[in-house]
Amino acid sequence: MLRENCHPYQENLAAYSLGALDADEIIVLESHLVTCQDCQTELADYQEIAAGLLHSIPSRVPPSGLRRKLMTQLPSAQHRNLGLFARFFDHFSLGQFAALAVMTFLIVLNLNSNRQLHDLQQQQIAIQERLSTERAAVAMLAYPGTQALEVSTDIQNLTGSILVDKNKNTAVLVVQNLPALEAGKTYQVWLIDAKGDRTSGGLFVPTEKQEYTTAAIQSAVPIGKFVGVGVTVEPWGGSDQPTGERVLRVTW
Amino acid sequence: MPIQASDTELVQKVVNSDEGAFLALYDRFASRVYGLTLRILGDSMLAEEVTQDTFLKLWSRARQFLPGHGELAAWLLTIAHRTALDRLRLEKRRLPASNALSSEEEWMTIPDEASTNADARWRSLYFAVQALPMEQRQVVDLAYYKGLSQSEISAVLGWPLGTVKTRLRTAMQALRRQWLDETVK
Repeated sequence: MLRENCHPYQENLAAYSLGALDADEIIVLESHLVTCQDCQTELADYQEIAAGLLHSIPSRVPPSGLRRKLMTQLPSAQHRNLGLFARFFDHFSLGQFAALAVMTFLIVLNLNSNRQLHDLQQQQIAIQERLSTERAAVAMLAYPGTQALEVSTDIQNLTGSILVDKNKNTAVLVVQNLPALEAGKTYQVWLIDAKGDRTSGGLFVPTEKQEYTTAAIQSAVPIGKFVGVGVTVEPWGGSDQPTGERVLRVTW
Repeated sequence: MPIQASDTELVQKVVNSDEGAFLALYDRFASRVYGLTLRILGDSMLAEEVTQDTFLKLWSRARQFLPGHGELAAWLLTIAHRTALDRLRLEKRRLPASNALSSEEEWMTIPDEASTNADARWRSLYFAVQALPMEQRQVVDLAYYKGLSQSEISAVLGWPLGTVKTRLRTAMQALRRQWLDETVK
């Protein structure tokens, strides 16, 4: 393609790289990008600058309480118990260490309870994540550019939609009757570009004891840069490229 | 915990619920994440909440980090950027570009001897942005750190859409010429 033909597209490359291009212009630009090497090169430079802008903001020391507050949100409370023990040692005489040892022994015996507590806390994290995803879905419904696109699948009874605003970097997948996974497996979302290349959009597992599963899809660039989304079954931890059976897809 | 543990090694331990590794990553990256979220949100309480959300996502989604796709800092800052912009939209606080922080009072506080080559690159980009004319800096700021589209910027600043597009492109061309060409290529 001749460079002179690029002018109307070139003026939008910078905005596209910063996620500031209006939705109606994204599709037009992307169809041009597929065939124009010059614009792809210019865009790659702008995207490198955009990535650099994230790093270029000077560091600021976060509030001192944040580290402690953050640790209270994690599932295990082992580190907090260490502080409690240290305070006990300050108050106990040597003669009382035997009692303390017994107490420690009992705590060790109580591992089973701790394990249950750990499991409950993991469940709490999972619930918080699900709430966060569902909150994102509700927020997306408020965006004027959000579309609800139906998923295609060969799996019987599986239905669902993806909430997507092509100008945003996040989308939400909502599916019903998603099959349970074997141990050691996970679902992985793939963002598919016009060339057919796949980029990971995140991992998720079916929500236990719930008919619906929601999953937040994350992208480093506006979702509109892609032409669709697929979901495959992958080994736990995810794959660099799809290796497993495709479960569903959505194209736009 | 070896001090020299790489980001990838620490993330792998976080996948296995290692709180020590998580704290090491927090100590390594919290100030950068907080700096970015404060820049976007302009409110210390909101920035603290979003920094907390970002690190909780690191804890719960560590297995989604794929080392072959880039550095942990970039992954973490991208999460912080998205989370902060989502929060900004929910709070409906699309504030105009802030000029409260000058370049001198921020980057100059970082000791040169502790700076790495990467630090120097990011610092030079920061100064390149600061060197842009005010009207160009404003559009970059509103686009990238406030999450506004060009037409939204046009409405906020009362400038014609064509003017916004020209200034945004001119700004990015200047950064390409002054920063990318000199420091990367």
